[in-house]
Amino acid sequence: MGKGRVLGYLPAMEAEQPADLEPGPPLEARATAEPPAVLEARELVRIYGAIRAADGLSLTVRDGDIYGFLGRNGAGKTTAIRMFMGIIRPDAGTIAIRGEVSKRLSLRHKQQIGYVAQEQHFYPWMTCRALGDFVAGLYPSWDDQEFERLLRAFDLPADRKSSELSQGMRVKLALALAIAPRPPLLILDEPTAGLDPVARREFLEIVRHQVRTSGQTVFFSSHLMDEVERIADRVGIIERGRLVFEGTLTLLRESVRRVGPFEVPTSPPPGLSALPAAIGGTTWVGPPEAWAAYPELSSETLGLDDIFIALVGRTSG
Amino acid sequence: MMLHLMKKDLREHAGSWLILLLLQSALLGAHSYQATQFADDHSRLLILPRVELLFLPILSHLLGHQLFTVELRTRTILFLEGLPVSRAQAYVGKLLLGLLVGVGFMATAYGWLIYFTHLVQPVDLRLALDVAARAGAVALLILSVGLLAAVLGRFRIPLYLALLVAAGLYANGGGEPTELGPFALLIRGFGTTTDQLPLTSLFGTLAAAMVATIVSGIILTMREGSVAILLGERMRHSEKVGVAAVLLSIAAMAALLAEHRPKEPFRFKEDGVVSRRGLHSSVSIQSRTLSSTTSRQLLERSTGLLELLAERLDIDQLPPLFLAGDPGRDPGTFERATLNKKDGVLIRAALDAEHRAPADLLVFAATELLDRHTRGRARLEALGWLREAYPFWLAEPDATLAWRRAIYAADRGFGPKDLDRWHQVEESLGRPIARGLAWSLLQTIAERSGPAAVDRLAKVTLGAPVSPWLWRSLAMNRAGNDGLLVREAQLNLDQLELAWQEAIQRERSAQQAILATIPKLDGEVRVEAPTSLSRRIHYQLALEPAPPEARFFLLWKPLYVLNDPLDEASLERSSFEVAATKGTLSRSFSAGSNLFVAFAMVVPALGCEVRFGAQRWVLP
Repeated sequence: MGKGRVLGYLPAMEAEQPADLEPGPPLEARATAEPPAVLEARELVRIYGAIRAADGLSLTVRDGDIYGFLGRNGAGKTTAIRMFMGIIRPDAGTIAIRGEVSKRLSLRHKQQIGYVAQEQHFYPWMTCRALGDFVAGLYPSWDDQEFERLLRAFDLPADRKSSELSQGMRVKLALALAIAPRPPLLILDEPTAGLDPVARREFLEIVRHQVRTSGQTVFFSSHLMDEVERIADRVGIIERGRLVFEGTLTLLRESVRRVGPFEVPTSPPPGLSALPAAIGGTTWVGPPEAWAAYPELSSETLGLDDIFIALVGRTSG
Repeated sequence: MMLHLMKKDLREHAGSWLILLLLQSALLGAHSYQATQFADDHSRLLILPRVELLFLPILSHLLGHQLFTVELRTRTILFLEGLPVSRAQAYVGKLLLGLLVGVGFMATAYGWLIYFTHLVQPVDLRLALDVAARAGAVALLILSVGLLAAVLGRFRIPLYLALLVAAGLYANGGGEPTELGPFALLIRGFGTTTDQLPLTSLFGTLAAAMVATIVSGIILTMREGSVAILLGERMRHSEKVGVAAVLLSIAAMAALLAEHRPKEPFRFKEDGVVSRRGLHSSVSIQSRTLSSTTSRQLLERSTGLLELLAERLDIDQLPPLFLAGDPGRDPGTFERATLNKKDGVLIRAALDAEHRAPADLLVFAATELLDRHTRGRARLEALGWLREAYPFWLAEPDATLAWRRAIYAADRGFGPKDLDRWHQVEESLGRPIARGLAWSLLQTIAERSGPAAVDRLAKVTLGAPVSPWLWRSLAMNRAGNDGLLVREAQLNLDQLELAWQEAIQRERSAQQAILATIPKLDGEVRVEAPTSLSRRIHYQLALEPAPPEARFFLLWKPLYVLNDPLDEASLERSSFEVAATKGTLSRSFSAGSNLFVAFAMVVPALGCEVRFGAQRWVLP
């Protein structure tokens, strides 16, 4: 099973769908039904020596999405986010923030993004409030009251130096600093890495609550399926710098299924593709319409962890 | 936004500012106190450059480290990257802050000194402005170079090397450091000739500061705003090679320019100068004691030899030669004066004595001209014996005497096999005897292969086109003596040795009587240790037969390293009576010193000073 065939069925790549599949709704019809894109990446390429960290990466984050960006370690998540943040420039491709296309983000674009990095490297001599004052000078839309409210809500001591905060508090402070400018888009780069399970769950709850109350769009990366399942409504799965799936969690569940257990055909019928046996058994992938076209085929749904492993684990061997 | 970032940096490094403020206050206080202890007429404003030269290098390096390195070391740059700030903004802000802080410190010092001066004397406005202009320009240069070094991070070492190379080239090209931009501003006439503010140096210094700042800015903003401190991690190999290539190219270009920079010819300022310009050479003689006719005769002979030399070697133009009369010199001793800023070779000699038999003087002059023409290479290369012998050979000296000197060298065990270590031959025998040996070899080649072979040999070495040292070391033909002899004289070293031994035997038979009058010369030195660290040198001479009423010399020179090339001009000479065959050198040395020691005395039968008992050693 080649990567191209997996990509072939993806909703984000309808143009590449095999001709024998039943067509879904027209693209135009979907576009009119969907909210506008806040972040749109097209064919991003970034090469480090012999490594293609991004290899034609395309994805769309729509207004109001909580977009889970999944991938194994080294799949290219952080490179992609650094390109979205304008920290590094893609070798090819474009990025559009709210429809404004550019190869590299301007500062005006960056002011529309709140960012929480994987590790927090605050100025150790600054207190939480001083950090707020410093960041406030960089965002015209900074809401001081909101920041104070967040400090209280997150139970953060305003006058304590950042070097004296625990890891969990530092992440919450980073989130407060990202939210206070009221940016339309929040980008979180594996924000829960390094947190204990309690702190992780608390952080995710804060994010979910924040999104519900403010209506912000959230793009967050992770390699933990349960995190994504907890808060995301759309996911993108990246592997070797390319997106191998983009869509809702429901679509993901319906697309990847284990065939059997009684009669397993030797090869998948048209519209479906076989995945390597990374999780045991025979796993096929295809759009729900393709699965529906073969009612005689017995299959079972998989847990999200198994789906993730089935999709990206194929390269492990 | 940049201002916002600069404010943050200003607060972040408050501790450093305090330390710097204390340091500057201490320096200013110490200098101010010192100024109150001396009642002189110098304005107290002149303290500023001293404080500046001590304080600013520390300030710029501390600033550079604090501003550029700390942000990376603590990884707070990653936090900044996530905010609407570009790296370029962040680092250019730091660069500007560094310059502003530096200027601020200097302004504070200046303000204090104006006040301090005002306490004891009226402030001369013109001097105050002069000091401000000079010190301000130098301050900007030191700051900008210090910050550039910080921006370059680990690549600052090439910057320092490049500055050293540039200074070396400048000094090598005859430049005076006190005339160079910042030094000219702070050293030359500072505070005494306020009406002569060196504008060229002022603008040169400001331009250099601007270039350093612009280079820093370019480095800070290139490649996605990543900084050069990170270049060590982020630079591709091709970029590193590129940077090295650029630095090497600059050094090579600077070397080329320094080598080929035309200089104005030297001119005698005194009276009694006669000059003559030939087709390939020009000679000027200055003497107050020589008659005009004698000077012109010497001029004729000099020009004649030099024209012949240039034609045979196919040299278009020899450097101009200047002979200066120095009645106080011993006959037969010549000194080449250093002409750093002017073109030409200036030689001082006792012309009153030399003009009667000027061959040695002219050969010395021709050799020095060849050194100048080949930019010193003829002296350094293994073919250096040709440089010594060819002008002598052209001057057609007394062949009998020259052969006698060669026989003396042969009796000391020297011959064609020693051509590749010519420095040691000269060091052991002295230059006149070594020259006789070299001449005898050329004479042998002329007898075996014809005079044209001698000319060819000289032409390919001494007359070779003057190429830059880099190019020459990489690409020019550098055949050794054996290869050169085979190629140009169809004679290898073994064949030359055989022919030369035959000639030596022939001449030995012919000059048997006079050779017998040459005394056997030998001498040895030993070391005494009066203390554990001090060493004294005792000598003992063995002469057979001992010439009556003669003097001999003990030659010595401490060497930095044992194989340091010997600079003949700086040899120390202690003169002793021959009768005192044993003695002690008055000077003592430290244990472990490297020392060259030799004996020398004039032997009338050889017509020159002869060196013997030469050795290099490490004093035990």
